[in-house]
Formats: sequence, C-alpha cells, structure tokens
Amino acid sequence: MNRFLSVAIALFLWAHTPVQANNKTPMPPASPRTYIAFGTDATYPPLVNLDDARRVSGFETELLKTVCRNLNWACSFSHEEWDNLVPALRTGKINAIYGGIAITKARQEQFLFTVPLIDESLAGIVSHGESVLPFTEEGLKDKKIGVQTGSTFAHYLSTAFPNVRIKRYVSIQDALLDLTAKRIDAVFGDTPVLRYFTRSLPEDKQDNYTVTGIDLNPENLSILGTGYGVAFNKNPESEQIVKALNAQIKAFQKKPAYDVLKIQFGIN
Amino acid sequence: MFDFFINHHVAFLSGLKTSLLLTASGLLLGIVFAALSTWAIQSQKPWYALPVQSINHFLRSTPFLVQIYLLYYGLPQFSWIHSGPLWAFFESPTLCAILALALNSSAYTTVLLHGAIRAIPKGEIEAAESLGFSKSQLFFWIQLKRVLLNSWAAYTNEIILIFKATSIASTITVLDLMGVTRQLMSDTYQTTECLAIAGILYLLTTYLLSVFLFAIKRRYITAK
Amino acid sequence: MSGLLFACFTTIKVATTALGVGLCLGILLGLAMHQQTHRLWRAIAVAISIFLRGIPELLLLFLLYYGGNALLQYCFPTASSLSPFWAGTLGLALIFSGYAAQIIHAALSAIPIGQFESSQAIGFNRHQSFLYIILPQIWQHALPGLGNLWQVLLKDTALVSVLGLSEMMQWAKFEANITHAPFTYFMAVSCVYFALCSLSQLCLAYQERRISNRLQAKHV
Repeated sequence: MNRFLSVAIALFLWAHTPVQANNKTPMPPASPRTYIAFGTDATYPPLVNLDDARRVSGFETELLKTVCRNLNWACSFSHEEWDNLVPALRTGKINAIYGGIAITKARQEQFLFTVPLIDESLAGIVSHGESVLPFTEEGLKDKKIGVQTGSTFAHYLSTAFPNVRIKRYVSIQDALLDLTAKRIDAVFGDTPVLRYFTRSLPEDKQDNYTVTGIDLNPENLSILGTGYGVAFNKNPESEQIVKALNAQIKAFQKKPAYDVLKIQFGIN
Repeated sequence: MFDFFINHHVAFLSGLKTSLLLTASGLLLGIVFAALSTWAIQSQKPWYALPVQSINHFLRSTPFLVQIYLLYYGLPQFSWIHSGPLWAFFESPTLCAILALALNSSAYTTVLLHGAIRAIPKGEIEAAESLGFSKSQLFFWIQLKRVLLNSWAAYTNEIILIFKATSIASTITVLDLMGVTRQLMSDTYQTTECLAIAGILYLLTTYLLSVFLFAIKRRYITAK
Repeated sequence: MSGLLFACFTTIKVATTALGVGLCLGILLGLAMHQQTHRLWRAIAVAISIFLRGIPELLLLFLLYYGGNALLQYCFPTASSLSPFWAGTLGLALIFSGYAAQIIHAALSAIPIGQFESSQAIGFNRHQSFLYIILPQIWQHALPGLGNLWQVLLKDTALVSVLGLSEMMQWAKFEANITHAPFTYFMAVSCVYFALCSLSQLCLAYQERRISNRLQAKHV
C-alpha cells in the first residue's frame, strides 16, 4: 500500500514539472509591470508558427515581442487550437489573440482590435497546376474550395458565392493536406501562409501549385477585413493597452527594422 | 439554451442522423470483416491466420484518431491509390470514416467471436459433422449462429463504443453531431450552449440505444 | 526525431497522471456504488458513472476545457486557468474513473462479507480493515479489468491533441505538412502507440500471472 501511495505521489509531482516549451502556463509577473498573455493558433507560417524548439514564433510573434520589449511589458505567447482561441479569450485564459486574424466589421463589434500589424490586406488562393482560378462566381463554379472553419475566408466565400462548394477544416494545415491529396481544387486563405506552403515543397514539386493574390475591391474589404490585428476583450482596461500598443506598432512600422523583419519571414 | 436548440435544431438533428448512419454502416461492415477474419483465424492455416491476427492486434493497440488520420490524410501519399480506381472511395470523408470505424470495430468483434466459438461445446460440432455438414456450412449455420447468441451481451457494449467513436469523424470534416457542434461553436461563439446540447443528445441516444439493445436481449437471446 | 521523443514523453505523462487521478476517483465512486446504507450516495455515484460512460471522450474534453474553465474562475476568481494539459488529463481521468468504478464495484461484490467482519473482530477499525484487508484483495480481482482500461486510456491520449497540447498527434500533423508525407508520420505515431500498448500488455500479463500464482500457493 505504501509503495502504491509513494508511486502516486511521485507521479503527481512528475506531472507538475514544467517540460512543455510552447504550452507553458503564463508566469505571473514579478513586478507590477503590465502583463499580457497572447494566444495564437501557431499553424500559420510565416505569420505564426512553432520553431524547432517548439516555441511560438513567426512574423507577428517577433513583431509583438519587439513591441513588448519597447514598452517594457511582460508578455507570454502560447499555442491554442483555432477553435479554442475565442473561448480561451472569453474565459480569461489568455488576454489577447493574434496570428492572421483579420480585422473585420463583424469582429470589431465583438472584440477590440489594434491597428493592422501588416500594412496591407492579404487574401489569396492556391490551386493545382499553373491555372489561375478567376475569383468570380463563374470561375469557381464546380470547384471545391477548402477554408478554415470560422475564418473570415469561410464567411466571405459563403456570402459572396453561395453556389460554390466549400469544405471547412479544423485548421489550415488540414486543408493544405487535403489539397496535396487532390480532394479539393483550391484553398482560400492568407497569401503569406499559402506562399510559405508552396515554398516548403521539394524543388520539383513547387511548380505544381500556383498562389494568386486576390484583388480586393472595397466591397470585399468589409468582410475580409483591413489587415491582421491583435484582438482583445472589450473593456476599459484593454482600451488602455490597445492605445499603447497602437502607438508602438505604428512607430515600429516606420523603422527599417520592420522591413528587415518582413524580408526575414518572406512577406512580400 | 432551449431557444438555442430550437433555432438550430435542423443542424443538430442532421448531425445526429449522420452519427447514427456512421454507427450503423460501420458496425455492419465491421461484422462482415470480423466474420471473415474469425474464419481466417479458425482455419488454422498460418498464411491466413497470421497476417489477420497481426492486423487485428495492430488495430487494437493504436488510437482510433490515428487510424482515421492514416486512412484519410495518409493514404493519398501513395500515387497508386490516387490514380487507381480506389480513389473514388477514399475521396469521400464519410466513406473513409465508415471504413475506419468498420476496421476498428472488427478488430474487437473478432476477439468476441473467437472467444465465443471456443466456448461452444465440442460435442455440438462433432454432432453437426456427423450429420454431414461441410466445413463452411458448419461455420455459418452452427458456429456463427451460436456465437452471435453467446456474444450479444458483449457486442452491445461495442455498439455503444462505436457510436461514441463516431464523434472522432468530425476531425476529418464529416459533419456528424460533433462536427455540427464545432461548426456552430465557431459560428455563434455560444460555446457552452452548443456543448451542453450535444452532450444531452449524445447521452439521450446512448441511453435509448442501450434500452433498445437490452430489450432485444430479453426478447430474443435470453428466451433461447 | 527528438520532436517525437519529446511528444511521446508528454503523452506518457498525460496517461500516467490520468491513471493516478482516475484510479483514486474510481475507487471512491466504486465504494459509493457499493454503499448499502446511504442510498443517496449510491444513486449519485451511479448517475455520475452513467454520465461519464455515456458521452463521447472528445465532447467531455471540450466540456472540461471550456466549461471547466468558466467553473474554476467562478469558484476561485484568482485561480489560474485550466491548461490544455490539465483539462485533457482530468477528462481522461474522469472517463477512466467512470469505467473503473464498475470494476471496483464488481470486485467488492466478489469479496465475502466475512472478510470485513473477521478483520473487525481482530481489532481493525473500519478504515484499517478497508486499507489493509479489503483493498489488496480488490486489487487482485480488479487487475485484469483495470489493465484493459489502462490501454484504453493510453490510446485516448491522442484525443488531447484537439485541445492544442503538443503530444505525438500534433507533432505528426506539423511534420506531415512540412514534408508532405502524411502516411509516414502518422504511421510513426501508430508504431509508438503500438509499442507502448504491447509493453503494458506484457507487464500486465506478468502481474496477473504473479497474482494467480500467489492465489494458488495460498490454496495449497
């Protein structure tokens, strides 16, 4: 019996040892500095992804890290499944969500957004071969398009082209796996993410896919959004934080370091 | 919560229907596979029995989630599947889910059937043989019937387990009850309501299913 | 490859922690189900066990991850939130306990009431007689059933990947996308699970043999 008890206690203690690098629970700040726990679905390279040591990385993460450093804030970055992001924000598990989250009218009613982290809106479509799919109702007819559940792209497709066949995936990575499996004709999503996908292919297969940016007319912008931002819960506390973040982000975007970061992660 | 269900009842019920459909077709196909593999193991020819036994052992020792991912996302890696006639089958997530459920269920059902066959008194088989039954007749008319009666109670558990396992099909874009729930969760942001309704529907269905199966047992199995 | 080892370690950690927590909960539930005097406790325990066995594992994990978090913060506003690790582990532990309670209940029924009476006759109090006389015997009766449950638990750890915990399934998904060889990576994960399951099967068979040997020795 004693042996059983000691084994149980040992297991309990073992489970408490922190070994996960990317999912570590945010440490409370030692000093009364502003503390923000950022959450992201880190499956959106190059915007957000997990590096070799399985830490959250990517363009948006590095940008936010720099901004935090400049503000002297304590910030933590953790990975959550896409479906879990909003509930985690609502229940206070994390304070902010980011990572390819487009700023749209519908979302602005629910969340408080910062200014866009990348100063242009990016929507693209990746398809087989060299054929470029014309992004119209006619061009997409009889094609199966994959999108991520709950993303702006899913919303946009179902409103703009109700007759196009849409398949919804848990994550964009699952949709891309199905594109490689040729079950769907194209994936509609963030251009940087799609470009990263084709670039990571072996040399001889890179020509099998074409990524096309989509011309966004102002009408589309209302759904697809004006860029990628960081979303907070709407409350007075967040407003202060967003104000400070906005000033820093805008200042940083004027510096040459911003362009260096863009080139480093292959955006543009 | 009730209002939420009323507003979205079409979606929830169509999800439940898909779940039940997956369960039924997975189990039926699973029975066929299980009967075949039991026959192969019973045949005592190593070139039938050995591969079947190792496949079953593998299926019982790996998670269902991994199996369904292997079938759906994994298999298209091979070009012969892709360009061959099989692709028509593997293209559909629903069919992949049914196949995965059937394979998984058959691995467990085989154990049940095998155990039940060994529990048949030897005299019964000898009596049938002396009456002039051939080997396959013996298997299908004497052993299988007896076995189904013997193993029904354990098989009831398997039915409930497979119904619960259908929720995993939602990870490969099948819109079963779980898939519909996840979609509504991300569309309406009403997480707690969605999950609670799905929970009630699953509990209710498993309850009704077990009541129904118990009634069958009382009516047909125990009576004999 | 180091990624797989690391992910495998997380998987084992989830499984063993869930086993520890689930076993304790299962024994409590099983004892409550075995109650003769307090009917209410028994009814509650039976209801909990039916609930835990009636809903899909995936749904219970989601319920704990979202609902559990809201509940935790409602009860203890200062508490830190439920991490994917703990939501997943607790979920698996609860499912384990739902089934384990039945096994414990059956094992308790197999022990003659005389055992309890005689242990009290030689001066053990109620807790002592449970801990030193009854529990070791339950163990012998329940081991095969609990062994099966442990294997189910081990396989269910794959489901925790949907909560974003980076265990083996999550690792395979990332790697499959970079290399475009999904079958290879999901197969690698299968093989690890196969090895883990086979290993625990061997250990359990050894334990069972030892127990049955000891039982036989007693009777001789």
